[in-house]
Amino acid sequence: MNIMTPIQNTVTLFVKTQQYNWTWVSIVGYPLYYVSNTETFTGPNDHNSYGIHGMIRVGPAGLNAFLRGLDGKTYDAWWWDNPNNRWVYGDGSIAREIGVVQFTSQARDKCNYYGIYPSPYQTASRALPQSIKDDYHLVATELFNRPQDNPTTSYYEPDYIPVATYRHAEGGALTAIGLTRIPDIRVSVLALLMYYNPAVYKSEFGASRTSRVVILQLGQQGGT
Amino acid sequence: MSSFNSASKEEPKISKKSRANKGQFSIIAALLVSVILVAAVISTYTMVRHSPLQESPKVLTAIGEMNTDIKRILDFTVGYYGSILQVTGNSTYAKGLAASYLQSGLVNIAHSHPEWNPSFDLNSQDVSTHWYTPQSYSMGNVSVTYSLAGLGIEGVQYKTSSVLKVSLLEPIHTNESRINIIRDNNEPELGLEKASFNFYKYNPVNSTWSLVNPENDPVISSNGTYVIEIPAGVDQDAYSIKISDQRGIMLTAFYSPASLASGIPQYTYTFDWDVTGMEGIYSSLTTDTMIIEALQNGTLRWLGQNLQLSTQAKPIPSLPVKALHLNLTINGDNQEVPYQVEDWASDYKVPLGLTSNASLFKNRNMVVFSVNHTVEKATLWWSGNDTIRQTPYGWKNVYFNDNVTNPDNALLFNGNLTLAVKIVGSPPRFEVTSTMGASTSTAEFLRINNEFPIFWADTAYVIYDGIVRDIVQQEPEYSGGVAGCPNFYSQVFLTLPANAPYYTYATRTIFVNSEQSRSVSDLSAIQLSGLSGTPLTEDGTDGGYPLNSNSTGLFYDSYPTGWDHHWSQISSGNTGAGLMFTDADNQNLYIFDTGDKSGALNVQSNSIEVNPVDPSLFPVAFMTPLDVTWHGAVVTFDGEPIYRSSGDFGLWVMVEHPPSVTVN
Repeated sequence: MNIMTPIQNTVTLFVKTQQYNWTWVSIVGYPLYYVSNTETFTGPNDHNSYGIHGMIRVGPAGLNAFLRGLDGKTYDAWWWDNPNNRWVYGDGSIAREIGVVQFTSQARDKCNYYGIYPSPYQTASRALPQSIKDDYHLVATELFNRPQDNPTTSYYEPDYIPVATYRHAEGGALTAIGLTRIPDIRVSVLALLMYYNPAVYKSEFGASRTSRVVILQLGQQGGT
Repeated sequence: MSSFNSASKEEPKISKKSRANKGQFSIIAALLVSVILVAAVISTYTMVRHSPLQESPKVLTAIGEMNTDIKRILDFTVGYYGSILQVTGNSTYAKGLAASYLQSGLVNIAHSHPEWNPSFDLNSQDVSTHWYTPQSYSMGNVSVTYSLAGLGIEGVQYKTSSVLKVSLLEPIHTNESRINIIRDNNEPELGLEKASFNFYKYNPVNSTWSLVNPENDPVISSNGTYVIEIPAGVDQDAYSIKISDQRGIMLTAFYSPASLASGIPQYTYTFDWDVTGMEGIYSSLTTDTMIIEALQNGTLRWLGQNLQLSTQAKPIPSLPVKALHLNLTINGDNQEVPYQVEDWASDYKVPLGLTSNASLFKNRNMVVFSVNHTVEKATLWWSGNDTIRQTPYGWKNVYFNDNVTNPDNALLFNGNLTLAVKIVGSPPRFEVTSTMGASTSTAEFLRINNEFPIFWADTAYVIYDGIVRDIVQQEPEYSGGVAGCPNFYSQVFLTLPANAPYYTYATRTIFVNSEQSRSVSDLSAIQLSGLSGTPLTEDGTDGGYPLNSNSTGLFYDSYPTGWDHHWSQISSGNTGAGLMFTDADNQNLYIFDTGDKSGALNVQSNSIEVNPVDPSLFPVAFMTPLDVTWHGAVVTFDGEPIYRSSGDFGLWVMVEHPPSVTVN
């Protein structure tokens, strides 16, 4: 399940969520669905009672459309895959399975700095191609080392990014967790901390009014 | 002085005055005397101010004040170190912050006496804690050389230390804690009140520790021994207590009779393998490796079922994971053995990986270790040393040889059993083949309403090359959802214990509250296939021993004979494979049974299925939420089967008669 996840102070959970306009999105699931903090959905035809908005039957094209939308492009069934010099139909899944990946040394440092210790190795089954950085004007803060090439697959694993926070050139960011189910929610918070790099105010240990980071997991499972 | 000199020049004028002026002369003379006296006093005072003998009180005051300030900063630093350690358990981090704190404290001292112009050289400093033991302490040392240029003082060397040391003593009466408390210079600490004592109280509902003070003030002896009433809800036989003094220095001590007697903080789990009179069966076995999961709340689990505890469960304190050790006592011989600490989510339902040794033990952690019938005791103990490094027994792989390079075709080897974990076919299926010697079996997981799941995602190798077990996880999916069964999710995870002849499965089904009707006519937790030989299935028990049947077909509640169907195997001689599960899962097999029967073991000539809803029995319909997991072990044997007809020997005893445990 690929999700965008929030970072907040518990006292001002709602305010901060709105302020930063965080939105949770499952971008590779089927269907593509998301929860917005700023959008209000009305009527039974566009959301269920829990505020989760889904687009049924959109399949892998949902991810492509989502990324194009981030970059202000209209969705087109065909688009030019620049690095590979070819036209690609928008329904093609661009996420790939790249196996077990290990934290970068920077990610390990952040684990120590923030005191958050998810397993340093994870299995990535929905890694995104690094070409999206050029295609959609994104800058990636990556958490994992790229794996070595697996000769049994038709693609080149080192070209794929397991987990990263992608910042768009014109603002806004997307944290994409391309790990196999069920992802450790702590990876999400680590991705956000690596992106925002907030300082830990050490003098506040044991003091009141300390800040907390709260990560909400939409569900324990992906879609059916 | 200058005024005194002006009066002398006018002296001739004074001698020429008339007698009438004699009174005025007397006044002037008296004034002169006064001036002389005042000048003398001023002179004397000035001499006193600059006399070395008269400087001492000022210098001594300044030095005393400096030393007092440094000592106070050290007190605060030791307290600060303790508070950070309590939160993080990370002594390296805490020491770094404490050092910064001390240095900034010295800077503050300098700023508070600008007229003295102090400067400091910090020669050495150290803070340390020995905690969660019956004899615990927090202490700090500092050596400072300082100068007070404003007073002309240079090179004053000052060394000092701050100590709070506690010794938990054997209580004289029940419900009391006796604690001897010492401070600096081995002096008894006599100034603590009830607010200084915080007992850790475990809340089993939300699996958290909270701090509670005693209701009454302690009784204090002149030697620093406090007698304190243990608050309600705190286990009198095993408790942790945080003690803080008025300086802010804190520490945590741990008490249990065994810990006090040995000097090593510990929980000892004593296994009774003969609790149901099955020691004879156990003693015949050579491959009865059981993986025990010790949860934070003190529960001990084996194959998804809680072991029977003959004593109160002992929750595991929030210890640094790196401090943990595990010893086994086998035939009287006590030795340290491998174990692992794992991270889990969702109330121990979702495995996340090995726990970082920089963590504190919390309610998402479990200690995992293996035992067999030769194990008399397992002792979970810990070091109180705040800078301890994790023992290699807690992180070093010595059993496993795993290859997960290709997650769709991985091989896990636990020293005895090889597990091939594959994604095969299109649409992709999750297939696990276990091999031991000449025996092999293949398993697939979950099937609902005759629909096989699709495994789109890679298998997650949550723990590979583990210490005492591997864990893999998968998520079964259904394209478009399960026909007739909306709002349904599922999860499968497997564990492979080191050296065991089996791997375990956990098939979890999550039925979310549904507004749409939901009917289940088929639900299979596991399908074991590729078997050959003679089937043998438990069909009731007699005196605790299995009755068995070599029939094929369905085995459900009270059919053909009993409700007990804990295992089934298909074997030829001593080679073959099968599966087995505990009482809890035998009962879960019938979870959908109402008046009609739905759940069954379905045994065929070359396959065994665990079907909580067998397609040939009664379907179930429900819209309420249900989250249930079916646990079991797939045994692939070449030598020691689940059940051997001659003498009732076999691994079946592990699931039907697990040991009971006493915790001290």
